Amino acid sequence: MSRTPAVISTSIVLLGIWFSLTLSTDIQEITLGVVVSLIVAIATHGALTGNLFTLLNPRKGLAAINYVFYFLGQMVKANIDVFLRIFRPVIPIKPGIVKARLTIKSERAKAIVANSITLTPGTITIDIIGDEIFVHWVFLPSGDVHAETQAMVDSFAGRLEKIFE
Amino acid sequence: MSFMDILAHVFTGLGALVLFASGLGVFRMPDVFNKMHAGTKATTLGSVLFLIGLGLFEPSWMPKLLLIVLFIILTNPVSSHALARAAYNEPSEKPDNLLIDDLEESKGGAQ
Amino acid sequence: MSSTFLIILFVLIGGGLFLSFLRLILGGKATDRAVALDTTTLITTGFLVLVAFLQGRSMLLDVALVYSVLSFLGVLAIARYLDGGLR
Repeated sequence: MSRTPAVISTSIVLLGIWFSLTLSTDIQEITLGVVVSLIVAIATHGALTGNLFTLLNPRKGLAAINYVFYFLGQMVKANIDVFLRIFRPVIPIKPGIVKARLTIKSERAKAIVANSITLTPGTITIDIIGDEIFVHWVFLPSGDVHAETQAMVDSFAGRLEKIFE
Repeated sequence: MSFMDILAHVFTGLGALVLFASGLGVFRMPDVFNKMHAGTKATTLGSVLFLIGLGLFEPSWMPKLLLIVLFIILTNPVSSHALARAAYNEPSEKPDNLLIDDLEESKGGAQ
Repeated sequence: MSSTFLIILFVLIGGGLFLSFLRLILGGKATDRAVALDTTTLITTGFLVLVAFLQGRSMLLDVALVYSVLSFLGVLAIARYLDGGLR
């Protein structure tokens, strides 16, 4: 029964989605929502969200909030970067694919890091092989490219490590 | 004009501008990966700002709009990865302007 | 929402839609088109929500939601096809 917290988290998230879709307080709708979200959560073993109750630990919860705000800040920066690039008469590009090492082990964390990197300034993730991540730069940083890439990946992975124990 | 109204105008205006920039970026960028930079980052923030701005105009729609926003944030990078891998793995699709290519060595070693 | 602001919104979103659709037609390589398709569908989602707001029909929001889900699946399917099928 080690999956029980994960199943309950998933069904709570699914129930939240159900409520924002129906926006109704009718008892029949709510009952149906509870039943359907429980069925889906049990059938998928809670794989959609994993165990969210660990976030109730204040340290991990704060780390998660910190990560979200850091990510949103980076996303805004990325868009300013794209914006300034696109409206130039000649688009300045210096593309390259650079390898970096992922210290984090959890598959879910790897996926979050890859998705975050895609949405942050000047970089998209091409592939992950084992614990190596391959990042495409639209404009390679001056200086040591590998060190810069590693620092960028670690800025996300380090913050995530605090959430995933 | 209330504060909420001004905020809604700013959000929708900026969102529409960023969505336009993403279209322009996809049109102008020279190769697949660079197109992806414009097509992923700009559409994500553009839709987020635009939909939340419209949600501020019509607060009763906010939950559903937030659901669309959440879905876009979660899925947009995923489709971008899938396309990036497809573009990299197919020799005829792969752009030839890369200055550094670490992935080539790793793939070469694996095969 | 004033009509001037509305016109600005329509011009910006319509312009973005036009440019990405032009890239979809003019192409380049197949993956260029796929990226353009991804962008076009996302801008269309925003456009649908704008139309829903203008007409005051919340039903179109569901259309936009389902549209974004299906476009994600469609792009994913195209990407897997270009990658050499489901392996």
